[in-house]
Order: sequence, then structure tokens, then C-alpha cells
Amino acid sequence: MELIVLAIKDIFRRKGKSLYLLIAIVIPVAILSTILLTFDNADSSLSTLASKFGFTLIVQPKNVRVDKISQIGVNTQEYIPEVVIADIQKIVQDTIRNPKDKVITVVRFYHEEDILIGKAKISSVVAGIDFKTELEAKPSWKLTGGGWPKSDREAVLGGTYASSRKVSLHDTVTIGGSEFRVTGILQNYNSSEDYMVFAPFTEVQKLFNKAGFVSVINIQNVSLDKDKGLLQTAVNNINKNIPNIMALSPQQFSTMKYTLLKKSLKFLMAIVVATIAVSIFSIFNIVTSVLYSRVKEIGLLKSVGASRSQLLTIFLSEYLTIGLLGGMIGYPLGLIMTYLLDSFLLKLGAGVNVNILYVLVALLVGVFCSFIASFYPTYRLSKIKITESFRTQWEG
Amino acid sequence: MSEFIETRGLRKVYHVGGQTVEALQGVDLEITKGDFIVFMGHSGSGKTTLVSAIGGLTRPTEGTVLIEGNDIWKLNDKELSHFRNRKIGFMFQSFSLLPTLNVLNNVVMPAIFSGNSGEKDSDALKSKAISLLSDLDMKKKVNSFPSELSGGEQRRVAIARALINDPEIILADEPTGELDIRTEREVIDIFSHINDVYKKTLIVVSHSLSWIEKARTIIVMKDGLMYKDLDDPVEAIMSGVCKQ
Repeated sequence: MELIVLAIKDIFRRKGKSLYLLIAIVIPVAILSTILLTFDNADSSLSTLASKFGFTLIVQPKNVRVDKISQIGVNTQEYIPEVVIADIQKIVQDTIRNPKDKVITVVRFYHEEDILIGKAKISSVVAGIDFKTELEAKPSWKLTGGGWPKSDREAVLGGTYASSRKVSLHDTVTIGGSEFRVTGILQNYNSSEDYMVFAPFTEVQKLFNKAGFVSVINIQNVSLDKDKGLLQTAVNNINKNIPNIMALSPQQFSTMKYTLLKKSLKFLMAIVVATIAVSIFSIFNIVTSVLYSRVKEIGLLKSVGASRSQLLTIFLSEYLTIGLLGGMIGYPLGLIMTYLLDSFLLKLGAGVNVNILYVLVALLVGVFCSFIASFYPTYRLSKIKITESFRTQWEG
Repeated sequence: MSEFIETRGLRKVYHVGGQTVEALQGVDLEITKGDFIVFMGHSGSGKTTLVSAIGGLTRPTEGTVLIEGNDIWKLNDKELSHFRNRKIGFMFQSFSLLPTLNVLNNVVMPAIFSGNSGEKDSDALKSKAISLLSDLDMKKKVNSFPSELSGGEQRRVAIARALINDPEIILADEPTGELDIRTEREVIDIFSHINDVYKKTLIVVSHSLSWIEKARTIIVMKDGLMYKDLDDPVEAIMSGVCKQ
């Protein structure tokens, strides 16, 4: 039998007190794990969304508010005159100073309209796009069936839109009084495009009497993709020289969100630190009360030859084991809380992933809380005189 | 028999509630190896304090405790723990067993602290513990827990534990306290057996007169002073010296 066996037997002997200690450790560990995992998931979610976006920079009307990365460029209220496209292209070319580096410009026109499907009128976002340049910029765009439109009165539907409205290939939808034949249905990309109707750009402009206006100008360029400094210069130059527009990059937006998240992380970490402090205080009180009820036991152990270091080993092993157990329970609890938080509140959609580093952090925090809170009372009680210990009331 | 334990000018002063109590007033004592000595006296006479000082449990205010010529109160905490572990087997009136451990583990517990609990020694240690328990008629109870034992059985286990490290001295404070007359007699017989067979030096503190016929030496304590070699200790005790 080893000293550690004595410690573990004591944990089971004092089930109630051990459970209190465990709860005092599990709570801060679970909160810390939840915050770290949520932060981690938000980070990966934003990066995934930014990489999905596919464009280097986006120019949209100045007054459009963007809260989510998926909202960038999508608006059905404000428009930009087409004449600025050439200016934007020139600014980009002047910034990259490489005539061989191709600048792909993709414009879109969005309008919200009641579309007639069969006899039902359904409010939908119609996107006017140039299919050729769109596919050049986004070669990953795929159809689940059919083909891309070849005439002005053909359309493609977002995957979710088609399935939810029960629209099939070759069906007809009526947009702004004109009939469009569905030639293809897009794959789902977990973006706002899954819910849209895509029709030829100039046709949609004309249908809604907005010839000469676009909703968004998307720019794709390899040099800007590679050089964040250059990208920032391009964005700044566009914003500086062209009025009533806002240029931004999805990557920048992601960084901006990340920075915001980091700021809130600091606040949340302050909460964690406060929780840990309260936890340490609670553990300190529980350990002190438990140890004072074990004074006679300490006296007995000392009388049969236990040295102070051996007593410290027994008692600290006991509390550190509980701390480790707290970390082991706190982390999966944090995973569950992260999942629930994401499912019902944040809806980042990045999923909950086990992170080995955070597992180690959870275990270390559990052990740290336990050690800090239990060391002083344990050390103090290990110094008690044997004869004094036998005079106290045994509560064992 | 040679001189084994010696105290010189042993004083112990307690300060209780602003008052000074002199529990020991310069006790000079010599105990020979293999002695069976019983300290008797009324409560507060200083007998437990004296025995605690000899056992390395209570530091005296003045004086020395020499065991085989070494002053134990000059040892540091670790050395004193080692001394208690190797030289003395303790037995107390109440709370002598750990409730979380079974009989066998309670008996081997002192060996854990002496570093003899490694895998290599484990079997030998358990065999020794079982042998001691058999000698004390407790073999059937090796896996029982303290709460399942009677008072007499708990004392037997405590005696086995006191013997596990093969100490030279057994120090018992009221080992028969709270026991019925029959069980008290059994425990006293066991102590006598330990003294005869294992040749241990026994130092016992008790109020009970039942020890007198078995003990080799009776020391009566009163007001921190000791009275040894009394012509008739029974008469001295009965006449009031250690009457409760």
C-alpha cells in the first residue's frame, strides 16, 4: 500500500465533501473550456466563411450595414452606378502595377421580388449575374443537375431554394412578369446563395428598371490575395477616391470580427479569472473544514511515524486527484456547453472540435485551483503538534 | 539489564488561560531495557505528559530525554518522525485506527512511512502483519474494517500495528480505558505476553489497578513529581495518591 492509496481511499470515504470540491473545480474549468472552444470555433468559422467567399475585395453601397460575413455584398436596397466600375479597376491596376496580373471583375444586381412559382407567389432574392465571368471567378461553382443558362430567359436556382419550393429542372418561374425556364440547380454551399434565384444580369436590371446600376462589384486578383498590405492599399484607395461606396475584403472582415471576438475574449477571460478566484476560495474553505475534522487522524499518522512531507504528499495527492478529476469532467462539460451555445445562440456552425491543447489546459487549471487552494491549509495542519491533535474533537 | 531510557530534570510548563501549570517538575527517570513500567496517578498528575515527552510527542520545557544515550529532542522534525516510526510503537485510548483502512492495512500503515511498502517488501510485510494478528487471535478479521470490530478487537489491532516495525519500546496511553473488566484483563495479558515473548520495553499510562500484578515497575505520579520504589504501591494508590 502506498501513500497515494491512502489519499484515494480518503476521497471515497468523504464522498460528500469530495463532491463539493469536485463541483468547485468543474465549474471554472467548464466555463474556461466553453470560452476557449467557442473562440476557437468562431475563429475557424470566420476563416472558413472568408475562404468560401472567393473574392479578393468587394465594393458595395456605403450605407449597407454588414454584421455577418455572409451578408457582405448582398443587399436589395442600395445601388452603385456602373460608371464607377472602370475607376475601381483602374485603382486596382495602379495598386498592383502588373498589367499581366489579371483583375477579374464580377458584378451582381440583387432585387427582392415576389416570384410566381406555379400559382404561388414567393418572396425571393433575385440575383442578376453574368454567368460567364461568375464561373471564371468561381470555378468551384457546380450544379447538381442541368446546365448553365444560354439564353436571356433562363435561370438557375440555389439548392435550398429549389428543394424548399419544390421546383425542378425545366420548370418555369415568373420574375417581374417575365417567365424564366430553370436550366440548373446549384449545389449548396452553406451561404446566402443557396436561397437565391440567378438570372442573366442585364435582363434582371431591365426587369426592375435599374439599368446602369449594380448592387455589388466583386474583384478577384492573385497579387492582392497574396499581399495583405497591397490589398489594404487598394481598399483604402478605392474608399478614398470613390464617393458613396464601401470597399472591403472578406479576409479583412474576418480579421475585424476576429479582433472584436478577441476583445470580448478578454472580457470573458476576466469572468473566468473571477470564477477561478471564487472557486479557489471555496476549495480553500472546504479543505480547511475537512482538514480540521481530520486533526486526530493527522496526529495518529504523525505518531506512527509520518513526516510532514509524507502528510503533505497524502493530503495534496488527495486534493490534486480531485483537481485532475475536475479537469477531466469540466472539459467535456465545456464541449457540451459550447455545442448548446452554438446551436441555440451563436449559430457559428463550425461544429465542436476536441482540442488536445485545451484538454491539457482544463486539466492544468483543475490541478492548479486545487493546489493553490489546498496547499496552505494542508501545510499548516501538517505542523500541528501530536498532543494538540488528540485534544480536538474527532468528527471523522 | 542495561539503562535504556533516561530523563534528566524534565520540566513541562503549560500556559492555560493566563495561568501557568507545571505538569512536570524536574523528573529524573531511568528505565531499563525490557522493563514493563506502568505510570499511575490521578488526572493532571503529569503521567501522560511524561510519557509523551519520552515518546517524542511533547517537547519538554526543560531537561533531556535520552534513548540509548541520544537526546531525542535534539532531533529535527524528520529525524523525530523516523525515531517514532522505528523505535516506538504507540497505542492510544481512543481513535487508534483509520476507519478507511481494513485491519491488515491499518497494521501495515507504520511501514508505509518507513518506506517498507514497496512491491519487494509488500508480501513479507503482509505475512508479518498476519502473523502478528494471528498471535493476537485476530487472523479471521484481517479484512474487516474498524467499525466492524469490538473495542477489545480494536485494541488488539492497535497492538499489532504498534509491533509491525519491530520497535524496542511500546508506549500505551490508557490502552484499557473504556473497556469492560474481562476485555481489560485480556489486553493486559497481551501486554504481558509482548513483554515476555517479544522482549519489548513497555511503558503504560493507566488509572486501572489491574495492571499492578503484571507490571515489573509501578511509578506513581502526583503534581508533576514521580514516586518510584514504593514499598506498597497498591496501598499508596488506594490511600488516595492515584484515586480518581
